This record gives sequence, C-alpha cells and structure tokens, in this order.
Amino acid sequence: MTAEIEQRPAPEGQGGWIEKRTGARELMAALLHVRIPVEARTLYFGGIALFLFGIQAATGTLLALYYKPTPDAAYNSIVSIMSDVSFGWLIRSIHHWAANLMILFVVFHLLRVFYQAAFKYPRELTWIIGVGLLGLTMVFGFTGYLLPWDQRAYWATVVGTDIAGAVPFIGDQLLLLLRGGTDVTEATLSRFFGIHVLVLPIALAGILVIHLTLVHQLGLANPKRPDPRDGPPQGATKPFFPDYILDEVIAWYLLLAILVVLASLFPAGLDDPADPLVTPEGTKPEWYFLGVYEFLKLVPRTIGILLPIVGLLLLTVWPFLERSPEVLMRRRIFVVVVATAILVFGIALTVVGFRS
Amino acid sequence: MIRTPGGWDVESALQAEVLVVWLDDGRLEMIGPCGAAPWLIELGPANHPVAVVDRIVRDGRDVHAPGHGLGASRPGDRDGICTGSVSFGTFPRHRVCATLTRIPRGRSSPGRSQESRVEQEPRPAPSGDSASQAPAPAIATPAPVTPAPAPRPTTRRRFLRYLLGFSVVSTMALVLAPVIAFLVPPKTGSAGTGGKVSAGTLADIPLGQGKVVPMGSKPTIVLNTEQGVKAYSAICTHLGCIVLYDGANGTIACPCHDGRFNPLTGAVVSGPPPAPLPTVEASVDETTGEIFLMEG
Amino acid sequence: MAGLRRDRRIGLRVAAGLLGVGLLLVVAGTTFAEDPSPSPGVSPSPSIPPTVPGPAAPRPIAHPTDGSSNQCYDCHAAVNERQKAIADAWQGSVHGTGGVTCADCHGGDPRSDRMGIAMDREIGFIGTPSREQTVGVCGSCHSDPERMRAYKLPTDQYSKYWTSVHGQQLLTASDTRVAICIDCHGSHDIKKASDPTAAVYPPNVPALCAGCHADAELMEPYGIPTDQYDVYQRSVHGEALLVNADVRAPSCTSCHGSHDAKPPRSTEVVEVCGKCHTATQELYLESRHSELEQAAPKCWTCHGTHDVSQPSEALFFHPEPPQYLCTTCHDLENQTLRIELDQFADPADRRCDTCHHPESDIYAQVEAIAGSLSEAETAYADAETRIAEAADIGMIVSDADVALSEANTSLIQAQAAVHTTKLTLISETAGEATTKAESASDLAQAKLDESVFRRSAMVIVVALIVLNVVALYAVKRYLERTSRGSGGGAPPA
Repeated sequence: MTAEIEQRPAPEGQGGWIEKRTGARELMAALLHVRIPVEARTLYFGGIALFLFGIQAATGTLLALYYKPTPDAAYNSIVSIMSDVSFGWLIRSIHHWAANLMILFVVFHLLRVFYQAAFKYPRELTWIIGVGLLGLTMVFGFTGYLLPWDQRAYWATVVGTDIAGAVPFIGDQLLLLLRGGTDVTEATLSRFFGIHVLVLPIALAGILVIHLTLVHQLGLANPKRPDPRDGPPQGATKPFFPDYILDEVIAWYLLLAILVVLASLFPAGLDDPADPLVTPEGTKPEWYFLGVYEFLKLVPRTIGILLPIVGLLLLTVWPFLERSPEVLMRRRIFVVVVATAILVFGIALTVVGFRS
Repeated sequence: MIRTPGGWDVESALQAEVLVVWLDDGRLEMIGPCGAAPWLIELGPANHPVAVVDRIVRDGRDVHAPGHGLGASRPGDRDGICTGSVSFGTFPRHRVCATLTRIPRGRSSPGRSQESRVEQEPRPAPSGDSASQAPAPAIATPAPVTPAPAPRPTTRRRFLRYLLGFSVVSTMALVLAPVIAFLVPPKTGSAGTGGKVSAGTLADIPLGQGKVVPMGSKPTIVLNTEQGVKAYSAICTHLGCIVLYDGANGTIACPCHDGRFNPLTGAVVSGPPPAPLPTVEASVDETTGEIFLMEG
Repeated sequence: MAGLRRDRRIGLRVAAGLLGVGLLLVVAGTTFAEDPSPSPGVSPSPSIPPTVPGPAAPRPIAHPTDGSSNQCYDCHAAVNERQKAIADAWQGSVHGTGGVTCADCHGGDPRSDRMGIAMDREIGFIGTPSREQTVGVCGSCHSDPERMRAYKLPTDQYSKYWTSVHGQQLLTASDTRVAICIDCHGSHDIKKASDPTAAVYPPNVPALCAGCHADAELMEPYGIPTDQYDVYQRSVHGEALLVNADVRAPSCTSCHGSHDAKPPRSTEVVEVCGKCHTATQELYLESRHSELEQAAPKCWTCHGTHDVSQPSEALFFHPEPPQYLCTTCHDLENQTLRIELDQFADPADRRCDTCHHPESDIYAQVEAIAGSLSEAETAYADAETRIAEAADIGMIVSDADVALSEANTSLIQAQAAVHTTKLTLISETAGEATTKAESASDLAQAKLDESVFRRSAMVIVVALIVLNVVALYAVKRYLERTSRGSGGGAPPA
C-alpha cells in the first residue's frame, strides 16, 4: 500500500514534483525491490547496529552543541547538559547506552555472520570491511570515553594508552601519537575529541556505505546453502521490501524502547572531576576492553599484547583461511567449537574483570 | 540484477525497458516506457489481468508513443545504436493477483482523469495461446465514461493506512519534541557564558570587604583587597563549612572552628584547616567594574 | 650509772630528733603535698597548699678533658653484652652525636683507660647517680641558657619539674618512685622529641605515661585511678592521636603539662581546653555559666576529662527524669551550691537536667534551646537522606550538596552557640540552619520529583513505541495474509 502511495504518479503528468526533479523512483525501486532467501536469518543484528549508529550520530551532534572540549570546561559542560539543558540528561544517557549497545550488537552481528558462515564466497570482502567497522566502533568507544574528563575517564585512558604503549617496536611512538604527548593532557582531549567527532564519523560512514553496497549487491546469505560459484543462487526468495524491512523496523522500535528505558532508569553518571595527581582505586577500562585487560594479567606483557593483535588479524582474513564451501554448523564442527571456546573464555575474562 | 523470463534469447545489443503493472481497484495500471502516464486497460468480466498482460508482453507490437496503444516491443534508435527493445512487465504485487477471485472484477472505472485516457488502437489478432486464452479485452476505451462508483479503498486498507500514518507521525513527534527542547538554550546555569560567571560589580564589594557568591555549584568568596580583586573557593578545607570574610581583623574566617586564611593568598593563618583555600581566577571589566570569575 | 644516764640522754636526743623530723615530715606531707587522690573539680578551696620551691640547679659536673678522648666508651663497649648495649645506645643518641660524653653526666677522667684513674671518686666520678641526683645532673646543663642556646632548647624544664606533682613528691616525700627525667626521656638512648621512635614523640606519650599510671600496684599508695589510658584510647582525642596520628590532638601532656605535670584545677580548665578550642572558649565566656561563682559547670562537667566523646543532643536531657536529692546541688555542711565532678563521672549524668530541675524557671529555657537545636539537626539529617536518595537513582545533586554545606556551617555554629546559654542567639542560629537544610532538602526533592516525571514519561513513551510495533505488526500480518496462496517465489514468467 505504501508502495502504491509512492508509485501513484501525479495526475497531471509524468511523475510528481520530486520525481521530476530527482528521478528518485528508479533508484529507490532498485534499492528496495530486491529479493532475499526465505531461509535467511539475520536476527536483524546488523540493521540494529546501523540504527544505533544513526542514533549516535544524532545524539552526538546534539551533545556537541553544548560540550566544551577543554579540560577546564569539559566537566562543567557535562554537568550543565545533565542539569540545565532540557532533556540534556536524556540525550546524554541515550548516547551513553547506545554506545554500549552498538558495540554489543556489532559483536552479535559478527558472531551471527561467523556461525552462519555468511562470510564465505562471495562475501569475503564484506567480512573484512565488517571487522574494520568493529575496530572503528571500539575506537569510537575509547575516544568518547575520555570526553567527560572525570576521574574514571581520565584514568581509564591512562591505563588504555599504557597498554597501547606496550605494543612491541612501535609502542612508544604509538603512545605519543595517541596521547599527543607523553602524558594524558589537554592535548589528548583535543586529539580524542577531533577523532571522535570528525575523523571517525566520516571514516565509519564511508566504510559503512561500502559495506552496505556490498550487502545490496550480493544479497543476504543463505544459512542453509552456500552461494554457487557459477551462477546466481537458486532457491526460494521473498521480497526485501516490505517483508524484511518491516521486521527490521520493528526491531529498531524495540531497541528504541530499550534505550529509553535504560536512559530513564540508569542515567549516565559522572565521577569526580579528573585529578592527575590522585589515582583512584580499582581503575579499569570499559567493559569491552576488560577481557583483554584481564588477559594481560595472566600472561607476560608481550604475549598479552601480541596474542589479541594476532587474533584480530586472523579474524580479519578468516574467510581466506576457512575455504570449504560448507555453511552448515554441523559440517564445520571443529571451527564452531574452537570459536565458541574462545568466545566463552573472552566472556569469562570479562566477568572476572567486572568482579575485581 | 534483471532476470529475463524463461525462453528469451538475446542476440544483439539489448535495451530493456521495464513497464510496471499493478492492479488497483480492479483495473490494471501500467507505467509506460517513456514517461509516467498510466495506461489504463479496461477489463471485461472474463479477463484475467495476468493473462492480459502476458499477452501484451508476448506480442511484439510497435509502440509509437505513450497513449497510443500498447505494445511490447519496438525497434529503437537510441544514441545512434540500432537496437531492438524488449519490454516486459513486473508484478510487485503478484501475490495480489493470486487473490483476484476475491476482488470484484468488473468494468473498472475508466480512470481518474481524461488525460490519462489511452487512445484506442485496434489490437491485432492475439497470438494463438493455450486455453487460458480469453476473448480480447476491451482496451482502454476513450469512449464515454460509464459512470461507476468512485474507487474506494477497502475499510481494512484504510485502517492500515491510518495506522501507518499514525505510526510515522507519532514516532516523529516522539523524537523531535525532546530534540527541539534540547536545542533551546537553557535559561539557568553557566552553559553558554563561556566559562565566566558574573559576581557583581566593584560597587557591591567596596575595598576591604568580601562577599560569598554562588558560582554554579561552588560557593566562592570574592574579596576586594589592596592588591586587587581576589577570589577563593569558600569551602573550608577543614570540614567543609562555608567561610566568610572577617573585616574586623582582615582575615577570611571559618565560623565553625575558627580557622583563618590569608585574604591575599588563601594560605592558612591559624586554626585547624590543613590546606589553603584553592584560588579562583577573577578578572574585572575596566569599563563597567563588573567582576568575573573563571570556572574550571 | 653515768653510762646509763648518758645513754639515756643520747637516746632522748635521738628520740627528740626523730620526733621532730617525723613531725616535720608529717606536717610537710599533709600541708605541702598534693591531695593524694586529687578529684579535680572540687570547688576551689580557699587554701591551695603552696608548692615547695625546688632547689637551684647545680653546676655541671666538672671533669678533666682533652677535648677528644672518651676512653669510658672504649672500655665499657668491650666489658660485656649489657655494657656494650648501653655504650652503643649512647653513641646513637642525641647526646652521643652531640658530643655529650660519659664524664659529662658521670664525672671521672675520660682520658684514661685505667679504672682507678678514670672512675676515681676523688676527681668527681659519681657512678650511677641516684634518682634525686639525676634531676640535678640533667638540669645542670639543660637549665643553662648559654649552653642550650646552640641547640635552641628551652631551659625551664628543671624549674618546672619541681612544681609538678612528681617533683613535689620527690622533694617533700623523697619518693623515688615518681617519674624523673630518665623515665620519660631515657638515659643513654635519648632521642629528639620529634623522632617518631622516641618515647616522648606526641603519639607515643599516652603509652609512656600509662607505663606507670596504668599500673594498679604502682598507683595504689597514691590512690590515683589507673583507667585513664584505657578511657583515653576510646575518646575522640585518643582516636585522633593514636589512630589517625594527628599531632594536633592532645596527649596527656597537652592538658597536664609535661615537666610541670599536674592535673588542671577547675579554675584552669577553660583555659586549658580553650587553648585549642578557641572559638568555643570565647562562646563559653559569654555565658551565664562562666559568670557563676559557685557550682559553675566547666568544659569537663559535660564533656568529661579523659573520655571526651563526640557531643550530641543527648547531652541535654536524661531519657528518664533523674533522681534529685538535696545533696545533688547543695553542700549540706556550709549550705552552698556545689558541683562535684564525680557527680558527672558517669557519662549518663552529663546532662543539663542533672542540675536544672524540670520544675525550675530556667528549665523552659533549656527545653527551648534543646528544641531548636534538635529541629535543626532533624532537618539536616532529613536533607542528607533525601540527597543520598536522589544521588542513588543517578541524579546530579551538586547544588543540593552545596546548600547542605551551608546548612552544615550554620548547624555547627548553632551547636557551638549552645555554650553561650543564650536562647535568642541559639534559636536564631538554629533557625538559620533549619531554613538552609530545608532548602537543601527542597533541591533534592526537586531531583526526586524530576526522576518520577522521567519514569512516567518513560512509561508513556514505551507504550507509544509498543503501539507502533503493534501497528507495524498488523501491517505485516495483513501483507502476509494477502499474499497467502501465491506461494511466494518468482513472478510469473
């Protein structure tokens, strides 16, 4: 019906006002009138991550209208946003929760794609770009975390950049680059703010466009059957629009409800203002780095740094390492079991990090 | 990716044009290859629209111009390349076609406006086909319009349309209301003053006197001394009481336990406080005599 | 018979002499010695026994010296373990590093390593000085301003010592069990008072005094209680000094004096406490209590001596009305008003209504004071709880915190103003505190209301979203229904 509303041309001529001036109908049709396999089960994770990115862009832009990125003023500007600005608490709390949820759902999306082997031919590039997107999302989280300039933010950044500084060979230079100096100072804040607000959004948006284009071009993967190399995929399909889109939008609405509940019941908090001379007890990074942080405590420093990096590299090129065309989980038991074990280990480390 | 229907061979450079056909209130509407004007096809009671269009698609008939009859193909001369063109229709609502038995078929209303009338061109004999062949449909009669009830969307469909409209509007309201409220600058607080808070003028604090002013959430004591305007946090470093200025003996005093601070430096002079009062930067506007305290 | 008579005469003289000395001692002992069981707070009796003046400081022990040798050390370090320990202790002490050698206290000739010469009593060697001698030995140098100038040390310890209870006992009763210089400072191992390992380092002082004063057997002949250290440890002062190592907190010597150790008299109490609690002293001196001649409550009446604890509004009234006897307030012998400190020995009795009878005129004033103060304290506690509540649910409460600090300032001032016993002043300050606490509470309440509003708004928004989801779901179902039977799949070709 919506389609009919859209496609109904103006009675007076060949197409409506917008259509005449943009010719958008064809493009929209090309984008929306595609088909997806009936067996596709995306669980909508990727779409949710996209939705959350949109939320972050919107709330982040709003926050940037009031936030002041210098150590003297940053903290008070956040206090002002929380207490003086109408719905400031809501915008900031949503930004805080959507950040955490976005990382969570990007990881869920990665897991879904991994377990369904949706990264295999012809979607290897999509996967590599996706891992890049995960990395960008985590850098988003890391840089944004410093901006309130309270004790938690400051010292978590000190600890986090210290870990970066422990990378062999390039560690010292990396530390200088990240911190804008030897210590975490106003130079660091400026740098992180610029990265968080300009560099990363543009980078993420650009790479996201490529990712989505590839998804559009290649269609959704069929979890029961790999794409044949010599022709279009066979099998029953259903339309992307409106069936899948409707489900996706419902999922987005539910996410919105969750965000509103979280923001209202657990508004974003603020510690004491940052004091470089006083280290609080029990400093630790945010939850998405806790696993690596705890891992570093278990093994020698170099291994603790190199192993996650090597792991990440392996993950990135995984489509070229697992080359069999099998997509069913029971046909790739070994891979699934090992991956699950690593996942459980990572979760256990994170839980330990929480408790300590 | 455009999929050709089964049985089509492509031998030369091909230009494909897409006609979009859909069923609306018992009549078929089709967008033509050269524009958006709908072509209306009247259906007889025995016409199955799928068969009709199928026939249209299969018949390779010339199409001269929009509105001049229907055809499925015509030789084209686009960009100096001689091409044959194949046109075929797609059914975005194909599932709808499957339920046609439920939609009353009858003479459809001839259309919403006169301009969209399709001029009649006698159709050539339909190619021989299977039993599904029905008598040729009467195609878009420019003849007098038989009055027919104006098309009315079904109540269910209307309800759903309202539902979607409500959904969209309410969501937008839900999202835009807080955003707009957010954008309006707040009246209170120090959000937009560039980190400076006014603490009155020199007239309010004559030489040799001091006053405690609230600066956001931090009480600050402002003094007018021989060495200029000085300001310190008014929170005593002993147990957090609010200090005041004791003009009689020229010290900042805490009334709780008699701690005393030097008004020129904030250092502890006597009593239990363990640390000096933190300094707050203060500046005076030359022209107006207004005293500003810097935050942070 | 003459021998017998002569014996008798001698005997008589001896007896007379003994009697005389004994009488002298008795008179001195009773007249000049301090009351063996001093109960501070006894109403100032008209006759305070004057202290016996101490002797003048003796001259330092003269001994030959060549400026460098100290053979005493060389020999004694090799004699046996105990001597070696003493010798080494001296070497590490203030005296050892400062060039005060063995002969300066013991006399003798440090140039020689031959015992006969070095420890010759003829040339001034005195061996281990007796306890009475020791005070003079120390005092001989330490009361000499010229000698002590280089070290910037005070020189009044010697003269002060003789005015102390210890000194007077030693002087008049030759009681060698009292503390002398070496008992507190050590003999060979003397350290600076600022050295944290020194026995006289302020946080170590209470334990030092308790070494004797907590020993029941030692204190028994004097009738002095021995629970002060125990009690002090649990007091506010004790906690500050012993647990928090806050050197501003008083030790025994802060109130009793060190070299001039003597429990303060009731006339001295306000000054002693007021040395640190300056503001409170000023307030007290404005009060009616400070003007009273008889039965005047002092600091220790309500706050105790060794067991000073955090004051609270419990100090106003007994939970149950106490027993009032004539002797509670009156001395039946001379029909004066009096306050005995031992009436207030039990902290439960340190209340206004121990003296102020409920049916007295002044009682209404006491009640009014207590009432305004407890109102302020309740308002403050209420504000505190409310702010904590708001902070718990995540609201930013910094403005309420500031208002609370202001209320706290006024509250502390109101509590301090109680010492003035002036109702108008107290109720004014307490009223200010109440108003400020209420405004802090209002600010916190605003946050709580805001939170309630947010939660209601959240419910409405979520309901709206659910409605939207239901709408979309309805659309989805409709579309599914209308496409049922078509089998999905590709369009007809």
